[in-house]
Amino acid sequence: MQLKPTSQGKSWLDRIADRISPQPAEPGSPEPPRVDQTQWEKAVDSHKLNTLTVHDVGLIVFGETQSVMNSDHANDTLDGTRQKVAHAIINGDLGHGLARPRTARPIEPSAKELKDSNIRKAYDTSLAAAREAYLSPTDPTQGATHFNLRPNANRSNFKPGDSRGPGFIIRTQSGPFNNSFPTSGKNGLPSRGIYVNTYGPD
Amino acid sequence: MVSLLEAFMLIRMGRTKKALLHFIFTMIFGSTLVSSWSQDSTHPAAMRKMPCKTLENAASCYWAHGRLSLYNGTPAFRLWKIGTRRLLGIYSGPNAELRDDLDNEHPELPANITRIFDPVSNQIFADFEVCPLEPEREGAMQSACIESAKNIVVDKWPSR
Repeated sequence: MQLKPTSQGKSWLDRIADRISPQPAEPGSPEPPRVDQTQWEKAVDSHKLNTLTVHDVGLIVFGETQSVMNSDHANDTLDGTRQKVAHAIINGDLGHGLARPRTARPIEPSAKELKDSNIRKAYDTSLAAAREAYLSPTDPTQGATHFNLRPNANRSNFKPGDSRGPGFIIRTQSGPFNNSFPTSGKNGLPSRGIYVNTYGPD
Repeated sequence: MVSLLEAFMLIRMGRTKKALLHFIFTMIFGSTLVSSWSQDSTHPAAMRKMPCKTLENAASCYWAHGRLSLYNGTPAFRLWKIGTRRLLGIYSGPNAELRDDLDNEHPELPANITRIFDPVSNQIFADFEVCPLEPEREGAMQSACIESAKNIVVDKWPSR
Protein backbone atom coordinates (compact mmCIF):
# COMPACT_ATOMS: atom_id res chain seq x y z
CA MET A 1 0.00 0.00 0.00
CA GLN A 2 1.29 3.43 -0.89
CA LEU A 3 1.01 6.33 1.59
CA LYS A 4 -0.49 9.34 -0.01
CA PRO A 5 1.57 12.52 0.56
CA THR A 6 -0.32 15.49 1.96
CA SER A 7 -0.43 18.94 0.50
CA GLN A 8 2.66 19.87 2.59
CA GLY A 9 4.63 17.06 1.02
CA LYS A 10 4.65 14.88 4.16
CA SER A 11 2.75 11.72 4.65
CA TRP A 12 0.47 11.35 7.72
CA LEU A 13 2.99 8.81 9.07
CA ASP A 14 5.80 11.36 8.91
CA ARG A 15 3.67 13.91 10.73
CA ILE A 16 2.86 11.45 13.53
CA ALA A 17 6.58 10.65 13.83
CA ASP A 18 7.32 14.37 14.07
CA ARG A 19 4.84 14.76 16.94
CA ILE A 20 6.28 11.83 18.88
CA SER A 21 9.97 12.59 18.42
CA PRO A 22 11.49 15.14 20.89
CA GLN A 23 11.36 18.68 19.70
CA PRO A 24 14.29 21.08 19.95
CA ALA A 25 14.05 23.47 22.91
CA GLU A 26 12.97 27.02 22.48
CA PRO A 27 15.84 29.32 21.67
CA GLY A 28 17.11 31.03 24.82
CA SER A 29 16.95 34.76 25.31
CA PRO A 30 19.83 36.48 23.59
CA GLU A 31 22.84 37.47 25.76
CA PRO A 32 23.03 41.13 26.61
CA PRO A 33 25.74 42.96 24.77
CA ARG A 34 29.09 42.56 26.48
CA VAL A 35 30.24 45.40 28.73
CA ASP A 36 33.84 46.37 28.40
CA GLN A 37 34.81 46.09 32.07
CA THR A 38 38.04 47.95 31.52
CA GLN A 39 36.21 50.92 30.03
CA TRP A 40 33.74 50.95 32.91
CA GLU A 41 36.57 50.90 35.43
CA LYS A 42 38.38 53.67 33.61
CA ALA A 43 35.22 55.76 33.56
CA VAL A 44 34.76 55.43 37.33
CA ASP A 45 38.47 55.93 38.02
CA SER A 46 38.45 59.27 36.26
CA HIS A 47 35.65 60.72 38.41
CA LYS A 48 36.86 63.70 40.38
CA LEU A 49 35.87 63.85 44.05
CA ASN A 50 37.24 67.23 45.10
CA THR A 51 40.98 67.41 44.65
CA LEU A 52 41.46 63.67 44.06
CA THR A 53 40.16 61.29 41.43
CA VAL A 54 38.86 57.84 42.34
CA HIS A 55 42.04 56.47 40.78
CA ASP A 56 44.14 58.68 43.08
CA VAL A 57 42.25 57.27 46.06
CA GLY A 58 43.01 53.74 44.87
CA LEU A 59 46.72 54.54 44.54
CA ILE A 60 46.81 56.01 48.05
CA VAL A 61 45.06 52.92 49.42
CA PHE A 62 47.63 50.81 47.58
CA GLY A 63 50.55 52.80 48.98
CA GLU A 64 49.35 52.61 52.55
CA THR A 65 48.08 49.01 52.62
CA GLN A 66 50.41 47.28 50.18
CA SER A 67 52.11 45.36 52.97
CA VAL A 68 48.88 44.17 54.61
CA MET A 69 48.20 40.50 53.88
CA ASN A 70 45.12 38.37 54.48
CA SER A 71 44.82 36.32 57.63
CA ASP A 72 42.40 33.56 58.58
CA HIS A 73 41.83 35.21 61.94
CA ALA A 74 40.77 38.61 60.61
CA ASN A 75 37.30 39.94 61.38
CA ASP A 76 37.03 41.46 57.90
CA THR A 77 38.22 40.73 54.40
CA LEU A 78 41.20 42.62 53.10
CA ASP A 79 39.04 43.99 50.29
CA GLY A 80 36.51 45.27 52.81
CA THR A 81 39.27 46.80 54.90
CA ARG A 82 40.71 48.60 51.88
CA GLN A 83 37.24 49.97 51.13
CA LYS A 84 37.10 51.45 54.64
CA VAL A 85 40.46 53.11 54.13
CA ALA A 86 39.18 54.43 50.80
CA HIS A 87 36.10 55.84 52.53
CA ALA A 88 38.31 57.71 55.01
CA ILE A 89 40.35 59.23 52.18
CA ILE A 90 37.22 60.14 50.21
CA ASN A 91 35.61 61.72 53.30
CA GLY A 92 38.76 63.76 53.92
CA ASP A 93 38.87 64.99 50.34
CA LEU A 94 35.16 65.77 50.11
CA GLY A 95 35.13 67.53 53.46
CA HIS A 96 38.39 69.42 53.41
CA GLY A 97 39.78 69.51 49.88
CA LEU A 98 43.38 70.66 49.91
CA ALA A 99 43.32 70.74 53.71
CA ARG A 100 42.41 67.05 53.88
CA PRO A 101 44.47 64.90 56.25
CA ARG A 102 47.75 64.34 54.47
CA THR A 103 48.35 60.93 52.94
CA ALA A 104 51.04 59.29 50.90
CA ARG A 105 51.06 60.71 47.38
CA PRO A 106 49.19 58.74 44.73
CA ILE A 107 52.12 57.07 43.01
CA GLU A 108 51.66 54.63 40.16
CA PRO A 109 53.85 51.54 40.68
CA SER A 110 56.30 50.72 37.92
CA ALA A 111 55.62 48.00 35.36
CA LYS A 112 58.49 46.04 36.89
CA GLU A 113 56.89 46.18 40.34
CA LEU A 114 53.55 45.06 38.94
CA LYS A 115 55.10 41.88 37.59
CA ASP A 116 55.20 40.68 41.19
CA SER A 117 51.90 38.81 41.64
CA ASN A 118 51.44 39.98 45.25
CA ILE A 119 51.97 43.63 44.32
CA ARG A 120 49.67 43.27 41.31
CA LYS A 121 46.93 41.78 43.47
CA ALA A 122 47.30 44.54 46.08
CA TYR A 123 47.20 47.15 43.30
CA ASP A 124 44.09 45.72 41.61
CA THR A 125 42.17 45.27 44.85
CA SER A 126 43.11 48.77 46.04
CA LEU A 127 41.78 50.36 42.87
CA ALA A 128 38.66 48.19 43.08
CA ALA A 129 38.18 49.21 46.73
CA ALA A 130 38.28 52.88 45.78
CA ARG A 131 35.66 52.32 43.08
CA GLU A 132 33.40 50.34 45.41
CA ALA A 133 33.72 52.95 48.16
CA TYR A 134 32.96 55.75 45.73
CA LEU A 135 29.86 54.01 44.34
CA SER A 136 28.64 52.68 47.68
CA PRO A 137 25.54 54.41 49.02
CA THR A 138 26.61 53.78 52.61
CA ASP A 139 29.76 54.56 54.55
CA PRO A 140 30.70 51.89 57.10
CA THR A 141 33.20 54.29 58.71
CA GLN A 142 30.50 56.84 59.57
CA GLY A 143 32.46 59.75 58.23
CA ALA A 144 35.98 58.71 59.26
CA THR A 145 38.74 60.96 57.95
CA HIS A 146 41.81 59.31 59.47
CA PHE A 147 43.25 55.82 59.41
CA ASN A 148 46.33 54.01 60.64
CA LEU A 149 47.84 50.60 61.22
CA ARG A 150 48.42 49.49 64.81
CA PRO A 151 50.53 46.58 66.03
CA ASN A 152 47.72 45.30 68.26
CA ALA A 153 43.97 45.60 68.93
CA ASN A 154 44.38 48.84 70.88
CA ARG A 155 41.16 50.83 70.37
CA SER A 156 42.22 54.02 72.08
CA ASN A 157 41.47 57.34 70.41
CA PHE A 158 43.98 58.55 67.85
CA LYS A 159 45.65 61.56 69.48
CA PRO A 160 48.44 62.60 67.17
CA GLY A 161 51.27 64.17 69.10
CA ASP A 162 49.30 63.70 72.34
CA SER A 163 47.19 66.62 71.24
CA ARG A 164 44.78 68.16 73.69
CA GLY A 165 41.15 67.07 73.59
CA PRO A 166 39.69 63.66 72.83
CA GLY A 167 41.46 63.27 69.51
CA PHE A 168 39.81 61.13 66.87
CA ILE A 169 37.43 58.37 67.89
CA ILE A 170 37.83 54.89 66.45
CA ARG A 171 35.16 54.06 63.88
CA THR A 172 36.21 50.68 62.52
CA GLN A 173 38.87 48.15 63.39
CA SER A 174 39.80 45.38 60.96
CA GLY A 175 42.26 42.61 61.70
CA PRO A 176 44.37 40.91 62.78
CA PHE A 177 46.21 40.82 59.45
CA ASN A 178 49.68 39.75 58.47
CA ASN A 179 52.26 42.29 57.39
CA SER A 180 54.71 41.57 54.61
CA PHE A 181 56.89 44.55 55.52
CA PRO A 182 57.61 44.01 59.21
CA THR A 183 59.87 46.50 60.89
CA SER A 184 59.45 45.33 64.44
CA GLY A 185 62.54 45.13 66.59
CA LYS A 186 63.63 48.57 65.52
CA ASN A 187 60.56 50.65 64.89
CA GLY A 188 57.30 49.83 63.28
CA LEU A 189 54.90 46.97 62.78
CA PRO A 190 55.32 43.23 63.42
CA SER A 191 54.76 40.56 60.78
CA ARG A 192 51.54 39.33 62.39
CA GLY A 193 48.61 40.71 64.32
CA ILE A 194 48.33 44.18 62.83
CA TYR A 195 45.04 46.08 62.74
CA VAL A 196 43.78 48.66 60.26
CA ASN A 197 41.72 51.33 62.04
CA THR A 198 39.68 54.29 60.86
CA TYR A 199 38.95 57.31 63.02
CA GLY A 200 36.59 60.23 62.89
CA PRO A 201 36.11 63.50 64.65
CA ASP A 202 34.00 63.59 67.79
CA MET B 1 84.79 55.44 88.38
CA VAL B 2 84.83 52.71 85.78
CA SER B 3 88.29 53.72 84.58
CA LEU B 4 89.61 53.61 88.19
CA LEU B 5 88.28 50.11 88.56
CA GLU B 6 89.74 49.02 85.23
CA ALA B 7 93.13 50.51 86.19
CA PHE B 8 93.04 48.71 89.53
CA MET B 9 92.32 45.41 87.78
CA LEU B 10 95.21 45.93 85.38
CA ILE B 11 97.60 46.66 88.32
CA ARG B 12 96.48 43.47 90.02
CA MET B 13 97.23 41.63 86.79
CA GLY B 14 100.76 43.03 86.94
CA ARG B 15 100.32 45.44 84.06
CA THR B 16 101.01 48.67 85.93
CA LYS B 17 102.33 50.67 82.97
CA LYS B 18 99.31 49.85 80.85
CA ALA B 19 97.05 50.67 83.80
CA LEU B 20 98.58 54.13 84.19
CA LEU B 21 98.27 54.89 80.48
CA HIS B 22 94.65 53.70 80.44
CA PHE B 23 93.78 55.83 83.49
CA ILE B 24 95.45 58.98 82.13
CA PHE B 25 93.83 58.59 78.69
CA THR B 26 90.38 58.12 80.18
CA MET B 27 90.73 61.06 82.55
CA ILE B 28 91.78 63.43 79.77
CA PHE B 29 89.50 62.46 76.92
CA GLY B 30 86.61 60.98 78.89
CA SER B 31 86.24 63.98 81.15
CA THR B 32 86.51 66.41 78.22
CA LEU B 33 83.64 64.65 76.47
CA VAL B 34 81.47 64.58 79.59
CA SER B 35 82.13 68.23 80.48
CA SER B 36 81.43 69.51 76.99
CA TRP B 37 78.12 67.61 76.98
CA SER B 38 77.01 68.80 80.43
CA GLN B 39 78.11 72.43 79.97
CA ASP B 40 75.86 72.74 76.93
CA SER B 41 72.64 73.13 78.89
CA THR B 42 70.74 74.09 75.76
CA HIS B 43 71.50 70.76 74.11
CA PRO B 44 68.18 69.18 73.18
CA ALA B 45 69.21 65.83 74.61
CA ALA B 46 69.34 67.37 78.08
CA MET B 47 65.56 67.80 78.05
CA ARG B 48 64.50 64.61 76.30
CA LYS B 49 62.77 61.67 77.92
CA MET B 50 63.96 59.34 75.18
CA PRO B 51 67.32 59.96 73.51
CA CYS B 52 67.49 60.31 69.75
CA LYS B 53 71.16 60.95 69.09
CA THR B 54 73.22 58.37 70.95
CA LEU B 55 76.86 57.36 70.93
CA GLU B 56 75.94 54.49 68.61
CA ASN B 57 74.17 56.50 65.92
CA ALA B 58 75.74 59.96 66.33
CA ALA B 59 77.96 59.51 63.29
CA SER B 60 74.99 58.90 61.00
CA CYS B 61 73.03 62.00 62.06
CA TYR B 62 72.81 64.85 59.56
CA TRP B 63 71.01 68.11 58.85
CA ALA B 64 68.26 68.28 56.24
CA HIS B 65 65.78 70.93 55.21
CA GLY B 66 62.36 69.38 55.45
CA ARG B 67 58.67 69.52 56.19
CA LEU B 68 57.26 67.73 59.22
CA SER B 69 53.58 66.79 58.96
CA LEU B 70 50.95 64.48 60.34
CA TYR B 71 49.97 61.77 57.86
CA ASN B 72 47.18 59.27 57.55
CA GLY B 73 48.73 55.82 57.88
CA THR B 74 51.67 54.50 59.88
CA PRO B 75 54.00 56.03 60.94
CA ALA B 76 51.83 59.05 61.63
CA PHE B 77 54.59 61.69 61.55
CA ARG B 78 56.69 61.95 58.43
CA LEU B 79 59.40 64.30 57.35
CA TRP B 80 59.73 65.09 53.69
CA LYS B 81 63.29 65.98 52.76
CA ILE B 82 62.48 68.89 50.49
CA GLY B 83 63.81 68.51 46.99
CA THR B 84 63.97 64.74 47.21
CA ARG B 85 61.52 61.89 46.85
CA ARG B 86 62.36 60.56 50.30
CA LEU B 87 60.10 60.47 53.35
CA LEU B 88 61.35 59.73 56.84
CA GLY B 89 59.01 58.04 59.32
CA ILE B 90 59.52 59.76 62.65
CA TYR B 91 59.92 57.96 65.99
CA SER B 92 61.27 59.13 69.35
CA GLY B 93 64.56 57.31 69.07
CA PRO B 94 66.25 53.92 68.76
CA ASN B 95 63.95 51.06 69.78
CA ALA B 96 61.23 53.51 70.76
CA GLU B 97 58.45 51.14 69.69
CA LEU B 98 59.73 48.52 72.09
CA ARG B 99 59.01 50.88 74.99
CA ASP B 100 55.77 52.28 73.56
CA ASP B 101 54.13 50.37 70.72
CA LEU B 102 52.25 53.48 69.60
CA ASP B 103 55.33 55.71 69.69
CA ASN B 104 54.83 56.63 66.04
CA GLU B 105 51.58 58.43 66.96
CA HIS B 106 53.30 60.75 69.44
CA PRO B 107 57.04 60.73 68.88
CA GLU B 108 59.19 62.88 71.11
CA LEU B 109 60.31 65.96 69.21
CA PRO B 110 62.72 68.77 70.10
CA ALA B 111 61.17 71.20 72.59
CA ASN B 112 61.27 74.12 70.16
CA ILE B 113 59.14 72.08 67.73
CA THR B 114 56.72 70.71 70.32
CA ARG B 115 55.92 74.23 71.53
CA ILE B 116 54.51 75.32 68.17
CA PHE B 117 53.59 72.14 66.32
CA ASP B 118 49.86 71.37 66.31
CA PRO B 119 49.77 68.40 63.96
CA VAL B 120 46.07 68.69 63.16
CA SER B 121 46.23 72.33 62.17
CA ASN B 122 49.76 73.08 61.02
CA GLN B 123 53.00 71.68 59.66
CA ILE B 124 56.62 72.64 60.22
CA PHE B 125 59.28 73.68 57.76
CA ALA B 126 62.78 73.76 59.29
CA ASP B 127 66.33 72.56 59.18
CA PHE B 128 66.18 69.29 61.06
CA GLU B 129 68.99 67.30 62.59
CA VAL B 130 67.82 63.76 61.94
CA CYS B 131 69.30 60.44 62.99
CA PRO B 132 68.37 57.43 60.83
CA LEU B 133 67.22 54.41 62.79
CA GLU B 134 67.66 51.91 59.97
CA PRO B 135 69.43 51.73 56.61
CA GLU B 136 67.81 53.44 53.65
CA ARG B 137 65.92 51.14 51.27
CA GLU B 138 64.64 52.01 47.83
CA GLY B 139 60.89 52.37 47.65
CA ALA B 140 60.44 52.26 51.42
CA MET B 141 60.16 54.90 54.10
CA GLN B 142 63.18 55.09 56.36
CA SER B 143 62.60 55.44 60.09
CA ALA B 144 64.41 58.25 61.87
CA CYS B 145 64.25 60.52 64.90
CA ILE B 146 64.66 64.29 65.16
CA GLU B 147 67.40 65.45 67.49
CA SER B 148 67.07 69.20 66.97
CA ALA B 149 65.72 71.85 64.64
CA LYS B 150 66.46 75.44 63.65
CA ASN B 151 65.14 78.06 61.21
CA ILE B 152 61.62 76.95 62.00
CA VAL B 153 58.63 78.15 60.01
CA VAL B 154 55.06 77.19 60.93
CA ASP B 155 52.72 76.62 58.03
CA LYS B 156 49.09 76.72 59.06
CA TRP B 157 46.66 74.45 57.26
CA PRO B 158 43.78 76.08 55.48
CA SER B 159 40.89 76.17 57.96
CA ARG B 160 39.01 72.93 58.40
